[in-house]
Amino acid sequence: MASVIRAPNCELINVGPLGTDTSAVLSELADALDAGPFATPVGDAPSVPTGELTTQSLAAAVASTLPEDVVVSDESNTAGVHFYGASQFSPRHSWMTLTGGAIGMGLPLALGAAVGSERRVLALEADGSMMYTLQAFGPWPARVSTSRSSDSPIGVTPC
Amino acid sequence: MNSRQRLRSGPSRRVRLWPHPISENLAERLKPSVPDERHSGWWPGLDTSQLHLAQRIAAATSSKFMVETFPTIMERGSGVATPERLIYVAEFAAAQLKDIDALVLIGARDPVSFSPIPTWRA
Repeated sequence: MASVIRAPNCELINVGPLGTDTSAVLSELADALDAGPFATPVGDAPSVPTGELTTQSLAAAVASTLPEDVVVSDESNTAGVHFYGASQFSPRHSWMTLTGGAIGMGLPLALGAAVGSERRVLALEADGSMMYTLQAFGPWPARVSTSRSSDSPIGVTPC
Repeated sequence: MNSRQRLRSGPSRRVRLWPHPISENLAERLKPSVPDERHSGWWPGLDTSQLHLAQRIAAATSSKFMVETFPTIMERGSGVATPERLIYVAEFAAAQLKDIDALVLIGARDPVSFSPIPTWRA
């Protein structure tokens, strides 16, 4: 059973139900509020970590070496909890997540992104989750690599 | 008729509620007439232009700009808006939202946790 997590006295204002043209809503609101220009956030990507392997250093290792324009399929789950924060100033990339909550979609998602977009893809994959859909390695075994140095369009980092 | 054809030819199940006459009123309500006393949260769409619009709106309204825990796909990295992500663990997520007294949803559902919070509701 799921629980509502906003506070009991929190008012809900739903201006964009699912299926809404979100861009139109946002544009109209920004205009109506006469919102100022976008202030580009400033910061640095983490440096390459040294020392002990922890969930923090893992996140820093990935974020500090992330290639430009890569698509990340993030099913790193608990071991990847620091990746979102660590990667905010990495080179530009697209980030996909485990939308349904049920593990096992990370590798098929990565494969689909690689085939559909022809961009390089990095799968951050929890080992248990990986076991659900090992079939994703099957059709294109030569295209999947666990090594950064490879030219394969999909890299997999087991977490 | 197979399911794919049915999907293509059937009436649209997509409910489109926008545009409707909420924009001006909402903009009025969101203006920070009493800054620091009213906090709002944002749940926007996630391409770069949407993220940037949402960050501008949040700045103009003294709101906190947040994204759901598991967006389908989101542009990230240098030069892109940096919304706060709702935390996966229910107790932490509840703590994150505890001072939010108005939550503005755009293209997202009312956030729920994967597991219940036993003491949250009577």
